[in-house]
Amino acid sequence: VSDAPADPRLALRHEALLAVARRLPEPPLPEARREEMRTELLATVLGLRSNKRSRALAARGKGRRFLLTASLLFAGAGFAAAAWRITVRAAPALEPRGAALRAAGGAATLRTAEPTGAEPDAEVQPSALADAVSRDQMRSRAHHRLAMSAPGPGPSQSEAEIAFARGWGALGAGDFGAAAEAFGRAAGAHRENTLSEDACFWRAVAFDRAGRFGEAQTAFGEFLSRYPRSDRAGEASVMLGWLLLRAGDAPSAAARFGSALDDPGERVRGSAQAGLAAAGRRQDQVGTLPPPRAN
Amino acid sequence: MADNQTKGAKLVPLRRVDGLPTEMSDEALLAACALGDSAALGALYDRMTPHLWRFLSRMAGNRVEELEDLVQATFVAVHRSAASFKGTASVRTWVFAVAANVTRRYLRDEVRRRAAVDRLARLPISPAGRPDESMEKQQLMLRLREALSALPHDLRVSLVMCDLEDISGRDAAAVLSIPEGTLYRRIHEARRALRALVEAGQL
Repeated sequence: VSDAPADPRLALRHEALLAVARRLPEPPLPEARREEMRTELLATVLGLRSNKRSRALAARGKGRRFLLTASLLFAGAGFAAAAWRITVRAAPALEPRGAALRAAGGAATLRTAEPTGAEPDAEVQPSALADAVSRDQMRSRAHHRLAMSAPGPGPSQSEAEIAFARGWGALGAGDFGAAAEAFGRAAGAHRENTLSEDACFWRAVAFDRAGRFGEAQTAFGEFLSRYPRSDRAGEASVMLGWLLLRAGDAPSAAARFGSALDDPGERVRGSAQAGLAAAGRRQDQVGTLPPPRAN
Repeated sequence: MADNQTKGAKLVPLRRVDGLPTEMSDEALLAACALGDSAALGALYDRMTPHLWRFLSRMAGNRVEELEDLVQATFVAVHRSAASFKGTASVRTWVFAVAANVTRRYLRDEVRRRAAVDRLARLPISPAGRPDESMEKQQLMLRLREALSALPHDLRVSLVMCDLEDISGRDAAAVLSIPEGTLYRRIHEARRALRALVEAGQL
């Protein structure tokens, strides 16, 4: 990869910087800790396998379990509503007794009259939780790592990533329309991140490959206006240039090719030069045509 | 029988790989991982962890707890996606690409990136011709580490892979699933940004 600046002094400084970067020390990882991590890793992986098995089992009885859960929920809701009605009706009757008991210091009994039974469970105290965590520390850390390695349940970012992955899959499978649609969803989720930038670019490419040249032209224009400093800007400019040339707009195409002439990518520069030459020929042809006759 | 099964499947054979894990190639270990052999995963872990640790320290900074979590998450992901290894690059490069994806998720919200920029802005720029050169070098290393953290993910992974880990452009582009031209552009951008960050402390 050649990245030699025009000023040799800058090149020297650049090489020196990379040399220092290559020597950046990493923090030590003691052998004992590495062994512990190895054990944790294998525990995590074994946990993964058992989860897979249980998911497969759950899938088999999915329908039956759904009906059972729904009926239990329904029954539970009915029971809770009935209990609530009984409690609300009984509350005025219990109140005098409650007041008397409160005066007598029997506050615990008063709880029977409270409509919501959200009692703090004596067993689930912070200290007890901490004990449980320390007992099962390896397991919880494994879950944490699993959560980190799997796509998290975040709101729109995850959706955008899923949409991007679908778009990528569709693009690879040759379903360009579906790819463009998926990339559109991914690009719309966030404006200022690399995912939406990539999605915006590939959406335009998908339109182009689908033969929807008008939409591809618009999409490339949108990409360039949204991310003018993108590292794909040169590539997008060239592709847009060819689309414009195809549509017969040689001057605009030439402008697009011209903007990609100093792109760092050799292939992009080559395409831009070829495009400029083609646009020039097209303009010459138009110039040699006789002017339209005025009626 | 075994030959028939392995025919046409060079990297992911349809049978358990024989032999001691320490004697097996990286590719064979990964193939065994794809078949669910946890011993092979352990052997691959032993073999790759020092390289991965260094790679991740350049990608995600030098906080030990985070690095430990990232190493673990990377190997969980390696175990999950071992079957998808196509052999377009070495196993080490492929593991680095997996680690880069894990790091991307970990640093996704860019809050940390901005925090690194802030930290960088607070670090003093060493004046030229300072007599205490070791101190200056230390400052430079500190600034360089923070500057690496402050680079956008795509630029950072390209720079770390090709410039710092000496992985060839073709291999890096293959495992990152990007055209080579795009990779070179990113490296170019990354070098410029890194220099600007170190010298001026700004993006």
